Formats: sequence, C-alpha cells, structure tokens
Amino acid sequence: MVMDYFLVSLLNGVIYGLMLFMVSSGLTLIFGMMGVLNFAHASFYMIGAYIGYLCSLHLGFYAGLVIAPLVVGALGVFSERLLLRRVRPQGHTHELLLTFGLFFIFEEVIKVFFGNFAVPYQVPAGLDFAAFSVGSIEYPFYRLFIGVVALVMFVAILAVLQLTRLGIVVRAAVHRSDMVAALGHNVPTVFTALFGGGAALAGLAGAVAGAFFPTSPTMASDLGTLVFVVVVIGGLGSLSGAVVGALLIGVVTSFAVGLNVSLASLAASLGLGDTLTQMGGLFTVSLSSLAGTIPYLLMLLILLLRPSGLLGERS
Amino acid sequence: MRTLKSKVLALTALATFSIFSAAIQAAPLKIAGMVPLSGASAATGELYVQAMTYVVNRFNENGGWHGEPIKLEFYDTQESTGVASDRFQQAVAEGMNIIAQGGGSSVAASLSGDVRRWNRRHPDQQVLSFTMGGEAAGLTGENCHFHHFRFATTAAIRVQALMEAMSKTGALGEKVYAINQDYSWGHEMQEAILANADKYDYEVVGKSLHATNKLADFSPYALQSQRSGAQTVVTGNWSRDLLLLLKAIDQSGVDANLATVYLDQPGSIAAAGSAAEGSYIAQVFNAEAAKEKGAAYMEDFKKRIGTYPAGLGNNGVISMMMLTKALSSLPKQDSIDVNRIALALEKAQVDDWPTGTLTMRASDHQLLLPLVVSKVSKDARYKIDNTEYGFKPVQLLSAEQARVPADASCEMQRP
Repeated sequence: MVMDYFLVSLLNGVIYGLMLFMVSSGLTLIFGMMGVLNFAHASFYMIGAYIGYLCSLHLGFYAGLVIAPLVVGALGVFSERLLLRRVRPQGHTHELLLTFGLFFIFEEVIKVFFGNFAVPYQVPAGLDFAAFSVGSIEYPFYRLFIGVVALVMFVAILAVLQLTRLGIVVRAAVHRSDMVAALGHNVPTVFTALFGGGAALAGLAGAVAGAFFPTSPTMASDLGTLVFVVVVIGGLGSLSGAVVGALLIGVVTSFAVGLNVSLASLAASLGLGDTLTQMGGLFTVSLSSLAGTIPYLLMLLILLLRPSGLLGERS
Repeated sequence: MRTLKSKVLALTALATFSIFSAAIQAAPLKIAGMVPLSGASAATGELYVQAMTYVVNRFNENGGWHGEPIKLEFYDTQESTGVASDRFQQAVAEGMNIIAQGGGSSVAASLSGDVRRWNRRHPDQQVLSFTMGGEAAGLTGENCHFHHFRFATTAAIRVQALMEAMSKTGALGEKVYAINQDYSWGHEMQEAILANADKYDYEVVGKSLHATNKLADFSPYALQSQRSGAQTVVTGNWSRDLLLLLKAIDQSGVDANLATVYLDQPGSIAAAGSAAEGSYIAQVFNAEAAKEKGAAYMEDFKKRIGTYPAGLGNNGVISMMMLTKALSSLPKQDSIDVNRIALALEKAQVDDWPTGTLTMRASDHQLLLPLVVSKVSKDARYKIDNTEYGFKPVQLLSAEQARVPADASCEMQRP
C-alpha cells in the first residue's frame, strides 16, 4: 500500500512537472535567445486551451492539437512583429511592461467571448480511461498522454536546436547577432519566428492540458508565476534546466501534500512538541498546507545558492 | 458611470411617483447594493442585481412603503475591501439607508465594520448593514452588532445540513475526508466537519488545507483521500478550486461521495460535466424541492427578470423579502429610523418563501432559513447551464432542522 502510494505520487509529480515544462519551454527559449521576459507567455497557454476547446466542439479534439499551436504561434508572431519590435530600442523594461499589458488584455478578451467561468473542455472519450490500476488506485490514461506529449516536445526542440541548420543560426543569432546579420541572415525575422515558435509550444500545451485541468480565464494567472519559478530554478534560457526545474517542483509538491508534518510534530520527538503546539503560529503549520508555497521556497533557495539556476550559464 | 441603475427600476419608480405624487413626500428608503459588477466575480454580482431588483420592483408596484417606492442603487465593489470602503463612503454621502453586500466574506466583514464605525460617529444618520453573501462566522459571532444582519448561511449551517441529509440517506458512510482552502472559510469548514463527527457518527480520517486558488493539480489530494479509505469527501471549495478537485477525484476513480457547498455557482456544472454527477450540495434554494410553489417562484422571476434565479441570487431575494416584510409591519414614519427597521426585522417572518418559513434570530441577527440538500443528477427537473445535469433534491430541511446554535461570542449592544 505504501509502495503503491509512493509510485502514484511520484508519477503524479512527474507528469505535473512535465506539464509545467510544456508551458515553460517556450518561455525559457524566448528569454535565453532574445532576453525578453515574456509575461504574456502563460496567456498563450490559456488561449491555446480555448482554441482547443473551440476545435473540440466543431472539428474534433485532435484537430485542436494541430490548430491551437498554429493560431497561437501566429498570435505570437503578430505580437512580436507589430508590438514588441517597436519597443525593443527602448530596452527590456519596455518589453516587460508591454507583455505585462498583453497579459491583462488577453485575459479580458477571453472573458468577453467565453465568459468568466470555466468552459466544458473535456478529455475525448477515446482517451478517457484508466491506463492501469495500482491497488485500488486507477491511473487516468490522459495524464500519461500529457507526459508523452511533453517528452516528444522536449526531444523535438532539442533536435531542432542542436542538429539542424536553423538551430545553428538561431543559437548564433543569440550570441553574436551582428555577425550573423553580416553573414546575410535576417536576424529580426529569426527572432520573430522564435517568438512565434515559443508561443506555439505554449498553445499546444494549453490544448493538451486544458482538457484535463479546467479551461478558464484564470488559468494564465494560475500558472503565470509558476512557470517563471520553473525557469528561474532551471536557469534562464536553459531548456534542460526547465525540465529539471519543472520535474523538481512537480515531484516535491506532490509528495508534500501527503506529509502532515509540522515543526511541532518534528519537535515532539525531542520532547518539545507540546510547548510548540501551544505556541501555535508557524510551528503548527503542516507541510501539506504549504504545498502551494514550496515552489517559491525552492526558488529562494536556488537563488541564494546558485543565482544562475541549476543548469544556467554563468555570466 | 460609477453606479449602475436598473432601467426597469427607474421606470417603475417614475410611474409610482406620478401616482402617489399627492402623498406627503418623506425621504424614500434607499438601499445600496454593494456587489462586484466587474472583475472575476462580476457574474455573481449580476445574480444579486437581478434578485434584489425582482423583489424591490414587486414591492414598489404594490404601493411601496406606505406609498413611497424604495430606491435601489448598485455600487461596484470589484470584490475588493478597499474599493468597497470607497463605495461605502459614496453611498452614505448619497443618503443610503441600507448597505446590502453580496459576494465575498472579506468585503462583508469590511463593510460591516465600516457601518459599525459610521453609526458610532453619526448617531443621527445611522445605516444598516446586510450581508447577503458572506459566510464567515465572525459576522454573527465576535464581530456582530445591532445594525448588521446576515441573510446567508455559515460553514456550520451548511455542514450540518449536509451531514443530516447524507447520514439519513446512508450516503455519508463512517469515514470522512475534509479538503478545504487554507483561509478563514476553509478553517471554519474543517472545524464544522470535525464538530459534527460524534453527532452523525463518522470518523474524520484525514483533513487537508491547501493554498487558495494557487494549485493547478489536485491529484495528490485525490490520492490522499483515496488512501484514507474515506467514503465521503467534504469540501467548502469554490470556483476553480472546487472544479479542479472534482475533476481530480473523478479522474482518479476515487470511490467516495463528494459533499460541497458552492457547486451551484453558475458555470460549475457545465465545466465539470460528468465529473460532478452524484456530488452532494447544501443549497439555499432548490425549486424542485418546493414543488408548485418553487415552480411559481421560478416562473415569476423569469417573467420579470428574464432568467431563472440561481445560486447566491436567492440570498438576495431572501434579504429583500425579509426587509419588505419588516417595512410593511411598521407604521408610517416622518423620517427614516433604521433602529425601528432593525427591531422590525428581528420580528419579521416571511411565510411565502417557497421552501419554508424565514425568520431572523434576534440574539445574533442570523437568518434562520430552510436548506435543501441535493445531488447532481440527470433526473433533476431544472437543468443547469444547458447541460443534462441538475440538482435533484435529497432532503428539504426546515429552518428548525437547519438551525445551529448562536455563536456565544456575539455580545450585541442594543439601543
């Protein structure tokens, strides 16, 4: 029973982590290569989910998995080409403020069209079954599906960046953009494409995860800060770092929920339990109720010990 | 446009004015509806607007208060205590007599406090505070005061109703798991779940408090409840936290009943879909439980407002029905004395509410109301959110069955 529980908790954590990675991958790529902190990134995830929902109503769920990244990618290209590029000469603060504004605009626009409440975007019947049972616990197949999509995505991005000519141009444009331009490559276009690509990845993540987690106007702000934490923990700009950071957050949160320990209960073994319980406050807060805070504690710790993140490049 | 007036109301008011223009003009009674009209909870605010307008219009059409129509205006709190306090200042400056709050315990608490301070400093221009949508125990507990009335339930009332109905129908089981949000409301829910354990003969096999509106994945909680062997999972979660929990429990194949409080928020059933089927809820109103009277109320409301009343909107209807009942019992006054209205409210009894009698408990100003415990089912008469599901009544609890003792910490200073 304990072993079953451990395995399912681990799997829950890993898959939640992979889901987080899907959203953060685009964010870390865009930051690493363009230096733009994109606050609106989680909005692309939300919009992807809504487009997936629309497609599931009219064209079917699988069409949504293709159309959502395309539409969201186009939206990303549009945002970069028409908005971000204009403020780039003013520096990063302006870019940051612009994406911050986009975040609010996207959320309100979604509310205008779909209302304040969650929409009924459901897992298609063909994928809605238990993959396996551990003891009395059924494990939903769709969670595995999310994990597999995330893994495929990771491998594909890595392959494109490391093995193709396009990847070489992109990586070179990041380090020596003037040199790449001198060699005849259109650097601004590379950046636009990259921004669109990052947005498309978030859109795909939305279309996949939105069917499992509710699709609502708040889903961007729910994940908004968390994906930043993932990227900071992993190291800004590092794709592998984003995987590690996301998995770390997923697994730690998943296990924390099951641990009803507090400082007071730990101190009980030293004979101080009653005193601390009476003092209350911080001493009686159980770890499980802190599950939502743990990612931020982790980030704090990483920033103190390794400011560039787990796999970030030292500057 | 800082306040929102109902056009319908303005027209009715105009018509009634012209009829009674001969009558002596005392200042009309003015009610300020403090509800969220923008932001994340705007849809909830809309429910209160419809509900209050419904009762006040009906009252005014029948002659108003001794020939004088009641005025009803709405102020947008944006569900923020800071904004609500500004709107309160605006409302008293505009001569409002009753501050009726809907949407959010924190706003309810802040407005009740504002009213208490205002009344202390302005004994000649006192106002009443109505809570239509705040369920925090403190409002009728340690922070109770003579000028505040609560027309909503509390965690203790909702949990007791759930346990009563579920234990009677055998759905409760002996093992209960409590999952709640880690703030005052969730803590009160958890306390109530623990407090009812002996009375309804169950054991609380686990309890979790989680960060409010922050978690994206509830599967660890579903796993916890499954591991504990609970037959019923009780939660006070609302909105997205409720939805995520529902889905996580459904997808993990947890074999437990889910007992909820806020599943009748608009949109919840549509978003949860089949995951909500079989869940229980303690509701303020369910038309099916009230049979013909319920149907008559639903249709009349729809005729006047355009939609059926939903969820918390019913608290708005109840509060205005209690108020108009109290007003009718008072003789004609030269000027508005809110203390007399408050005393009349304590004695008011509404008999034409479809599910039963409504009264106000004088000791803590908590409304005593009937509750309906229902189950999400395809057999329900009234379907929700254009889905095939609705709330099928399991048991109608009279106000007497649903009441819980007054909070001993309430020490009310009476005039």
